[in-house]
Amino acid sequence: MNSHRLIKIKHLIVAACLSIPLLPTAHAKQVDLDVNLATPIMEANKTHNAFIKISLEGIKQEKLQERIPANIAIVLDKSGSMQGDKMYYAKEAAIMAINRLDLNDIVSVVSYDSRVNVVVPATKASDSTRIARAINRIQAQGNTALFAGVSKGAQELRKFLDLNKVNRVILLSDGLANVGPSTPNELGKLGLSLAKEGISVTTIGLGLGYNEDLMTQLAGFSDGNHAFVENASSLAEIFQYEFGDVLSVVAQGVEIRIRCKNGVRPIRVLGREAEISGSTVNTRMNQLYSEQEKFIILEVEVPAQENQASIDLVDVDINYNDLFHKRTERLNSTVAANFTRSQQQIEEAIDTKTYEAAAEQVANEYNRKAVEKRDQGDIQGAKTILQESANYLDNLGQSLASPKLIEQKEEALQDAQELDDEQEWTKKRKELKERQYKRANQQSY
Amino acid sequence: MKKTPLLLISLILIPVLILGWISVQLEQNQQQLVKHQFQSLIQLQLEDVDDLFQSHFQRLETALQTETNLLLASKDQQYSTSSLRQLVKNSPYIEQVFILDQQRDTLFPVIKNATQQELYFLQQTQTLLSTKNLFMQPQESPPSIAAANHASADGDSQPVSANGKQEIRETEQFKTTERLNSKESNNQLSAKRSSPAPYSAQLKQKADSAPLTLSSNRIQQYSAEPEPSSEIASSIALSDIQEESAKLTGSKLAHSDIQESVSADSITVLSKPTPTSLPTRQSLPTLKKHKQPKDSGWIAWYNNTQLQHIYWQSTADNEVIGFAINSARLLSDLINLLPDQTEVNSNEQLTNAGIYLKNSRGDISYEWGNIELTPENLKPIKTINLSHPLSSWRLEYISPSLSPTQDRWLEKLLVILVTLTALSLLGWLIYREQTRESRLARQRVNFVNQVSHELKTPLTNVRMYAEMLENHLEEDQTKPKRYLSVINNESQRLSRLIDNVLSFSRLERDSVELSLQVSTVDACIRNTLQAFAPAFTQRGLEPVFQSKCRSEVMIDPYCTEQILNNLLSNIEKYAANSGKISIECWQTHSTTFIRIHDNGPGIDMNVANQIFNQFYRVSNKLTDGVTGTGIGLSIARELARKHGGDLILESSQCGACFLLSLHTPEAKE
Repeated sequence: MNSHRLIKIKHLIVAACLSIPLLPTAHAKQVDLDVNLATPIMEANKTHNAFIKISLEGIKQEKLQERIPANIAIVLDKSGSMQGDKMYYAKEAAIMAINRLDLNDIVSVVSYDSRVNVVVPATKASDSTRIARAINRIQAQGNTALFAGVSKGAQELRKFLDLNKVNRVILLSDGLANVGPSTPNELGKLGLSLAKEGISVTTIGLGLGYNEDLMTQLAGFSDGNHAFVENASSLAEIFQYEFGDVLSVVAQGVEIRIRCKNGVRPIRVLGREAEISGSTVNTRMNQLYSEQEKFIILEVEVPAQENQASIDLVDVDINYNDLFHKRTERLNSTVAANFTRSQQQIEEAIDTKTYEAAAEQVANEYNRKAVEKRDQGDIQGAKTILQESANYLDNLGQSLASPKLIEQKEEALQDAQELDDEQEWTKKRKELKERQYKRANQQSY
Repeated sequence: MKKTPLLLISLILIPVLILGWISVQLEQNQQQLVKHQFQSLIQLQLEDVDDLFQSHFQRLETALQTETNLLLASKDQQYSTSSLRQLVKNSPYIEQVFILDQQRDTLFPVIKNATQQELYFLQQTQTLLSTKNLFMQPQESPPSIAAANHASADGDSQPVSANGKQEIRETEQFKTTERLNSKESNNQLSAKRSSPAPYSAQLKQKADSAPLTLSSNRIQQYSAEPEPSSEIASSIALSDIQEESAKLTGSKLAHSDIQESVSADSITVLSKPTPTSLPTRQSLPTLKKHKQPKDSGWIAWYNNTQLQHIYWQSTADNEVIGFAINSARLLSDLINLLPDQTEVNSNEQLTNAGIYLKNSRGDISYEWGNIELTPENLKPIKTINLSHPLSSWRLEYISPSLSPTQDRWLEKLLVILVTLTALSLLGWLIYREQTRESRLARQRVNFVNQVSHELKTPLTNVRMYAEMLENHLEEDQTKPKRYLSVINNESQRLSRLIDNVLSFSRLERDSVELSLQVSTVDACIRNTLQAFAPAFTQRGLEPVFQSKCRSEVMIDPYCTEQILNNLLSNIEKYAANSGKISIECWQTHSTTFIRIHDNGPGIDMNVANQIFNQFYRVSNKLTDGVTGTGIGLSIARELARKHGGDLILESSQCGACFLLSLHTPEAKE
């Protein structure tokens, strides 16, 4: 028997016992769970592919002063290519961001070139002048030992690692990792491992020299953010956004377990990594931010049903660590579908928002494939895929009357046009990767 | 004269060179020693790193054994797939878990009902998992190298360079596990549920043998796994026992654990007895029996040139639980064991040196140290290969030089230079002194020469006028005639003396030149004898001359006469009153031999050669009191040699016998 489940069941029972008599005064939940079906009413006697959107949103905190303490490691690339403005802005951005932290927060700064230097070992953020002085001493030179830098950054976090804190490595790099492991796969594995410890890695790519695959993999597997900053002067802004995100985390270690019922078969999860095993889908998010909606889109195959039938499609279990109350919370929801022969009913029932979100993710998948094709050198193939994506968006946009999708269609067409330019491709690819990442993870900035 | 400076120079240079050579040798030895010490220091330093890594693997083993024990505890006939997956999901170190049965066939994961990740894993490790003897200790199976070979032979897509040396750590494991188990029972009550320690913290705690804190979503209580003989027992009975035990567990927990979880536990346990039933130590003493893992080991293998690790452990049921380790995480942890630049700078161990951790492809995985130079042009001073399971990785120690010895070179060079200068100065002084001496000596010789020359002219005049006067005298004026002959004799002797002195100095300067004339040897001998005639008569000597050399040859009469003069004057001096002097002369081809044999006291043959040395005088009764310069015979021999011949002393019955040979080519018409 699985120990994990045992505890979950315990919690379920405890929660059930507690909640029945105490329902009116039950403590405010940190997270809202919504499970929606893009097409709640489906045509009877037909097999359908349906999109289910499972969305989670951190609720806005009533008491403003209340905030989850953060444990942040800033990992700065100080390789030779960072010399000059880049280094200057990076330092400035880091110092400014650290000044936003308060007494309960812990910060560490690691810089790396060919070797790694722990500039500021994990310490309370209160001593900001000393930290700033240490940061200002950093000088750019040498190669890029990105892997070791992230490793040491994570090690600093571990000194005060606490699942009730926001544990985050913020990596800034402008170049290719050339000392130590350098493949997206290896960095992804590291990210995955860190995520299991409750550490997420935000990667900020500066300039046009970095490896966007590596950076998105590292961020993706650890559920951090990713940003492409072309101009170093906007680093400060990005750091502010990032710290804003970090400081608004309300829940961590979000485990999502979806069980498909009644013969419904999961096909794919759009955007995020998920483990599909039989009729069960497991995935996780490292954290949820206050007032930010994060969702996953699950595409399922619904077997043909009789007219007027109503079945439950999926049962969604959410487990997360409530940082304010320092306990594990559990949410549960189901979604049902109805079946009819009336086309009008079907159309009226369409959940536009959910459908939009699903379409956005589908188009994002198209975009991803297009980049893959382009990487293989098949520009025409990539264009075809983007065209397909645009058509799909156009169709849906028209029928749902969604300006958002139409806009995304325009974007796809624009992308298709810009694929040709070899010189601009490095930049374009970084933009595309960043956009894909942000869409898939509903990044706030 | 040129020999002296050469000698002096060698006198100076030889000791200096020897000194230099010795100091070089000494320096080299010292350098070798320092280098050796340095090398062993480096070796130690690198081995420390290796030990650090090994201890990490040990900690990892302990952690993984804990996981194994948890799995075994939750096992009920079969491992629950969900708990295995949960483990993979929660452990930052483990990438995949697999289980092999007694026949080493894969029990988990199986292709049917596997997740994508599991499928990928199976695909990657197909060959590895089918190499069954990889998961046995070498002593039970054919040599593991053979296993590795076998594996690489049939799996070319993923070469298995595995357990060249699977370490046997059984006893160690035994200890650790035992310790863990005992700790466990103490700690299960106090284990915190609310805030689980992070995984890495657990690792550290284990290393420090601190109390174990298990993560909250794991069941705290486990003891030794159920008796494996349960397979033999009827399964119904077993399940009964387990249900019993489950209830007991629940009730036991009620005492110890916090309430909410107790209720949950017991309810769950009762409703779903089999998967959750956990026979604990307290409740089921009959089932309590330590089952230590029999075998375990690390397998290192390559997947797309990346080194991967698997830790496997066989259970009491002779099944194998294996853990594929997240390679990136492993490297990250190893890197975290190594110092960063701040640490390097603070303990000043690697001044002007660096250490590289290189992977099997030779790429740098991590570097630390204080070296400015780029590494391409530098060869590592020391390289060590890490121990299994990182045996294809190596550590390189880079440093441009062993710097501290350069100063000492300068020192040594300075000492040598000073010695050289001092000796040269001394040599120069000696040389100056010596040249002054020889200059003075030369001046003295010149003076004597000059004087001799000056004496020659008046002497010639004296002789000439004495002869003229003799001719003017009447026959009967015997007395004045006798006086004149004495004057003549003495002046001849004086002129011979002067000739000898001049010849001596000429020979010294090597400036004697023969002036060959057409003449007969006879004439020369007769001339000489004639000159000596009055003196011989006076001393009672009677020369007997047998001449056989009347033919004309090329000869230097002056030189020949001087040789004869010297020989005859010696006879006159030392062999007075000895009667006949036999003088023989003969010629063969172009050599003339002249033998002069007297009947005097003779010369000891022992000194036959020494008498020809300059200034040598035989000292005995006979010669004492007789004046002489000691250069006559030496000049005679030198002149004879100049003339292409020699002068030797021949042994004879009585008296002295000299044989003179001269090169006298026949006169050409």
